[in-house]
Amino acid sequence: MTENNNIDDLLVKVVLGESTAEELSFVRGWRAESPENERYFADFQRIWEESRNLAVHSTVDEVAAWGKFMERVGRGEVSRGTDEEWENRVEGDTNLERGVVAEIGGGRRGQWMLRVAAILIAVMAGGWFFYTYSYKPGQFLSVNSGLQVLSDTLPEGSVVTMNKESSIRYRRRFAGNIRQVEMEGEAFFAVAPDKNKAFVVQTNGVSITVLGTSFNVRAVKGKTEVIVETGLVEIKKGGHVVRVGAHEKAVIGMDDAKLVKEDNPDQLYNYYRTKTFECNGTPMWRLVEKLNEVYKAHITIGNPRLSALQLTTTFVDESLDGILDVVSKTFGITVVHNGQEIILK
Amino acid sequence: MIANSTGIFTAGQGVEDLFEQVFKSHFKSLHAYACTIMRDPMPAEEIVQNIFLKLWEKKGEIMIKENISVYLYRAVHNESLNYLRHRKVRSAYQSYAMRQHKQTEQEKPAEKVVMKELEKRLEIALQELPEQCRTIFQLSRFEDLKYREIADKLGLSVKTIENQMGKALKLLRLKLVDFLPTILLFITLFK
Repeated sequence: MTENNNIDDLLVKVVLGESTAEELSFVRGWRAESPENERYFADFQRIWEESRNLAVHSTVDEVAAWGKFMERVGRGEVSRGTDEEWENRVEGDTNLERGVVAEIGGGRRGQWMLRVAAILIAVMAGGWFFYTYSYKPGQFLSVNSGLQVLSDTLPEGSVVTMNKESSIRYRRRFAGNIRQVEMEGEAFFAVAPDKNKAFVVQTNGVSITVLGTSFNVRAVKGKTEVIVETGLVEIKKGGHVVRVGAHEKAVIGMDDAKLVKEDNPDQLYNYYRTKTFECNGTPMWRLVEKLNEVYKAHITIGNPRLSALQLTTTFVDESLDGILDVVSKTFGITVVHNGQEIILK
Repeated sequence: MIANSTGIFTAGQGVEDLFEQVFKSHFKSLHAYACTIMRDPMPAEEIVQNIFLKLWEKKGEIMIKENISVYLYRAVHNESLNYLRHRKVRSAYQSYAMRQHKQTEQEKPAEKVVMKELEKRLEIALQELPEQCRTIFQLSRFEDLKYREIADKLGLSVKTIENQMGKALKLLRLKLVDFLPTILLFITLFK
């Protein structure tokens, strides 16, 4: 089949569109010679097409990377060795310790051996520990809230409260001038102030940068909603940037190019964290939307007139029935249960 | 240490500017390269940073006898594979955490794209390509560079790029031949 040694090179050139007209017609002829040839060519094409899916596009900014680099250089940080170098170093330390042990342990032989063994094990464990914790750049911690709301304190003091079925991922030790957390689902961040280390949350291709503030991020089905409680955050996506202040929010869809912010009308986003529904002139449709989300209920408004009714009250750790009871009494609404469905009339 | 793009070494004044230039012009593609091997952007960035740090420490010593791009791609390739090797021997918790991460990285719940068998095989086969072959394939496929551009970047001849690409596709095909659907078509046609 490969009578010509260079046929592979030629075929690839054709697949990649690098061939001359002459080569192209030669390959056409070759392909027509036998179904086997045709298949061979098709395989190349298929592999080429398929491999495109494995491409990774770096979102790293080279200027920021350079800044980080210069900072490391400035701190006099030393590069890690290769594995071999590193393992030698750990082993070297162990030998050193062994020498010390030999000096200390001048007593009875059995006890001496025991001590050596104990200390060696300790040193090796220590070496391994040191190795795992300080050498590996990718020492990541993933926290998944599972079926409950979960609070987690990050290494530098910021507190993250995750809604159910949410997860965050961060470095055990934040390196450089950045505190980076990746998240999915919904979480509230109370960021410990540190002017020298920006706190960056990444989700759905959106990055949210703050210097010390509190804000809620909800990233569900490709849509990212950021609500700022205090301070100021900077949201970046692609080349666009928007700054969102206290009591403002920004909603970014997967395909949105522009970043737009708006006033945040209510405090309902806080529910999973505070167990409090704070309604402040909140329209019925919005409350129903939130109740459905929090209680996984199927409430519908049966009468369009009700939709715009505004409610001002606070429910603390109240059951769904309790809330609906108050709502029905306040507005004289009838609550009809129909299997899973709840209709307000 | 430092080399400009044609592989000429200079030392003393201006080395740092040149270093910065090399850093900025290579960082993104090296990072993408590390990512395709490691499938994890953060340690990938750390590895590229570290390679530059090593280079920085060797400033003033002339140590690279080849094109700087070739050196950098090779370093990223080797360090990334080292990293993967180490990841395998880490504790159960680590691999668990990694799995968790891989799931969140690759199979975003919204899309839940299950990696196809062929794609998985392809990833493994790509990993097994010889270093130069892989680098050239990477530049061609993932950075969409023309043969000419790759040749210039790596200081090699266009002919070498042609050979290496031919070799890459041939090797990949050999490893994937059982998973290529066209073969089924062939068998059914000729049985």
